[in-house]
Amino acid sequence: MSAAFSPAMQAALTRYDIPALPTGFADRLVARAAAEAALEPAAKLRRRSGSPWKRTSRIIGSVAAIGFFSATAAAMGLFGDPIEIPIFSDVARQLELVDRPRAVPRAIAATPKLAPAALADETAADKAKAASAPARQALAAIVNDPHFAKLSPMQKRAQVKRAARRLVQSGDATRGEVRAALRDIRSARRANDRRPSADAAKRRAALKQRLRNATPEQKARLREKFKALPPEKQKAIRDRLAAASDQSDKPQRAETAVTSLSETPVTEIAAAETAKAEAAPVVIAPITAAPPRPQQAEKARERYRRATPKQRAKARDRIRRRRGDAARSRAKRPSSVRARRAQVRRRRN
Amino acid sequence: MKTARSTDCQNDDALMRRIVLRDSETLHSIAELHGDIPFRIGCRMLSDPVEAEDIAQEALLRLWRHADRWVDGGPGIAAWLSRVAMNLCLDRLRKARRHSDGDVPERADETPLADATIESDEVKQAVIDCIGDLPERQRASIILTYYEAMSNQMAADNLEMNIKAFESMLYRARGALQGCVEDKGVLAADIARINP
Repeated sequence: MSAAFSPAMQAALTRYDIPALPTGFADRLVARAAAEAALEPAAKLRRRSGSPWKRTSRIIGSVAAIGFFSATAAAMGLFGDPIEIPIFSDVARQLELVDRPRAVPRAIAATPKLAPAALADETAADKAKAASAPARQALAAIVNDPHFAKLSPMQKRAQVKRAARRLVQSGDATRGEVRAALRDIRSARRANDRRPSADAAKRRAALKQRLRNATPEQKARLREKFKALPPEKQKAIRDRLAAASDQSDKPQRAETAVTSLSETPVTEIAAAETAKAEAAPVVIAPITAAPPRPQQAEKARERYRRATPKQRAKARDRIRRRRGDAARSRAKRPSSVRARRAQVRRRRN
Repeated sequence: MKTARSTDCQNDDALMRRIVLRDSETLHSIAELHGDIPFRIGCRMLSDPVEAEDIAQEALLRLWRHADRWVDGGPGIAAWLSRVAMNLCLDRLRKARRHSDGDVPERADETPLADATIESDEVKQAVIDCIGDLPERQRASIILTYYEAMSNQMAADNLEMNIKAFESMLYRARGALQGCVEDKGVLAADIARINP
């Protein structure tokens, strides 16, 4: 390599000499190495990664991974029912900054054959009831879902609200139809709740059967027991028996049943039974558009003949009321045959 | 002058095996045997014997710490130390340049100013200045090839460069150094003194 420089240059470069290695260099080095070796276990115990960037990225990465997995699990419903948290879009939707598009009900679009006159004749209630069928089906499917029963009232409300909003936005139903459908579903559920259970009906039937088959001694004992009860309890039992007799298949008046238990003497039980049968309310066949059959008319006449004056007055009132209804409905009847047919078709549907 | 190439590879492998077993006596003997290589490189690169001693210690401590990574049959301890020392020097120069824009302070010359050595010292100072004026990698190429007597290939490996790129850089470094020394005007006087 030295050939690359001229001799004069080589001589000049050679002048650049350096001092010798300081004395004790090796000893100092060995001492430093020993000191480092003593510190090594403590450094190993710390077990920290060399770069702070690495540490930070590990922490951020693990937090992001935990967040991602928990969000996925919550979305999949692994933590139970989804939690209803009002997010920005919900709040924005409630604000209604712009007008919502008007929903076009499909039910009306699907029946173009109906005459405009016939459509005009339809009452508002009928329209809502007829057109809310798809809405009712969709909402009933949600409400009858077994999963729906497990939700909290707030979650139930939110789910129904969401479904209703979807129906209105998709144009399957108008707001009125959805409201009518919800009303129907609610009333049906209430009626179901009010209906007495089958067990209670069975119990009542068994009790009545036992009363009917009781011996005179048993009946006397029962009567004494009944009389020994406080008046409020007696009233409650009377009411319960009256309700039972209303629901029973036999036309039997509650008052008679209670009286037969509380006031009739033991020896006149059989007579009381016959009286119960006779005291049945007079039922006259309803006056409809079709005339009653001769047999039915004969039966009704017979019942009227055997009825007390009070019962006869009641029957007369009932007949008068029905006649008035029929007259009113006749007044509403459309004049043209075509409109009449349309009305009949609508009723049938 | 002892060079990096003068080390015996087989002997080096045996020494390193003992270093792995944490034999401080071996480290001591390696420091005495090869300690001057990183020291020389440090002195010429940084122009500071104190810094050079620090560089030499650091290079040998790295050998001690990473002895378990030693691969037998390699270029040897001397080559390894010269490479590590050169990288440490380049790191320090970069760090110094980043922290201060000013020139590296010159080391005070502690040698007595005898009349006989005045001219010689002038030449030496001119060479030190000119080498110090070279860019870092050009300086490293001159030190490795001229003072450490490494082949171009070894020096290129040491600086982790392509051989062609290294040769080109070395050519430029030589030209710059020669021009600088000639500009100082010490070369002609020296020649006249050597050949009266």
